[in-house]
Amino acid sequence: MPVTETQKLKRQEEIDPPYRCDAYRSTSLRSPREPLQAMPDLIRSLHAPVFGFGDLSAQDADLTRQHAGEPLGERIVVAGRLMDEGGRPIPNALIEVWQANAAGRYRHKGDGHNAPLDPNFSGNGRVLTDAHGEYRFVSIKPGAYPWRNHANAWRPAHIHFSLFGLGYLSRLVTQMYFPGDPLLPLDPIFNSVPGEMGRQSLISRFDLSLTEPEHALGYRFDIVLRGDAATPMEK
Amino acid sequence: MQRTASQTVGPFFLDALIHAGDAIINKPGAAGETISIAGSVFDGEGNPVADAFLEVYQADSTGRYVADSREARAGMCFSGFGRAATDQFGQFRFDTILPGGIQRAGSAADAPHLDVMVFARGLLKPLVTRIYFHGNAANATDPVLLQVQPNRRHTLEARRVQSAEKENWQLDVRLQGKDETVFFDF
Ligand SMILES: [Fe+3]
Repeated sequence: MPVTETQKLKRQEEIDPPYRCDAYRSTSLRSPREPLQAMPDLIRSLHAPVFGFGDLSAQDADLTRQHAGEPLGERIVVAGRLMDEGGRPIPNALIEVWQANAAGRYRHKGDGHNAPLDPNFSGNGRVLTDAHGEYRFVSIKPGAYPWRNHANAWRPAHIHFSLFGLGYLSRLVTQMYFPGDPLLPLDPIFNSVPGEMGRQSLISRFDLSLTEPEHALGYRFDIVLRGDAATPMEK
Repeated sequence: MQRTASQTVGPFFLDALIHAGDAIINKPGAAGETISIAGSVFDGEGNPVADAFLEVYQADSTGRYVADSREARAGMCFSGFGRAATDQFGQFRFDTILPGGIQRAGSAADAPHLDVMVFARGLLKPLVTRIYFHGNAANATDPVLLQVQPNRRHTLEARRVQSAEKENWQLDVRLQGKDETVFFDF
């Protein structure tokens, strides 16, 4: 069916990518073809799960201090505020992050990139937001890495984020990118987001006030999750 | 405010997201009938999806969600939440207790079920579905099952598998194609 101008416009406003995105080849056999069913009312009104985080230590939020030595690469501080769509901060929420090392290699058996592993870098972190919804972690800037999606395909530098909000449907898994990365216009995953505003929501901002003199560059990445605490949850 | 867009979890989440015990939901002290739920995730060509993970969320045996109930929260030994990665055969398994049905004012009860989110490389946002229990009498009046075409309802109903130890249930997740799982519009 041809896409009408109105449909095109609607897609531009949509924030999340579609399941099927031909430029990102892995979606071709993993995207549903049957029509999606309406979301059950009960799911809409569910709170996010409450579960034990285990013990979070300071090391969980500092990926440069998880081993005996320091990882190679450019040290970074990533910080921001977790909010709902009403702009209200989400306190005490778990944020899980993972990333490649400075050479663009993950410590994962499935990563076949021939860039070196760094014995001082695992690339996994966890942090809780504080009473004001603010989070902060220290890491090194991840390297770009090749993937076999198309000829000469490279992922822009990114950090994976997994987040829980107030409602069950606030759940978000996303990727944070860095400003000015020349690979962004070429990346099918970043560009799977139909609207410009949605794509911009994924790019962190360099922030001199987060930057620590003689130590690390600061990047700000605010995150807005689905849902609005001002709308009372139905029971 | 403008929401932050979703992106795929990619293939390299294992060490960051999956920890020992995440798939065991029936922590000691949780009341109810102990069960396991296992299955495999398949793609549109019927190949196992070996780099996915599932999150499940369910009510306790009395039909309460821990997060919604102050008493349950206070004595929390059952979060109702679990995570399991698929293995090289695309298989996952959760150990939990049979959830109760959920009674809500003004509408028919939701039959016992687990809410499921599927994450994987190639999924730019999670797929949201449910696992019901085949043969449960409440399925006949469940408002969600009733809106699903009768010939697709079986994709949401786990089947009981014979076992001496405890109740084992089985349901595969088919992302695409023949017997494609029913997913909700997220
Ligand atoms: Fe990645």
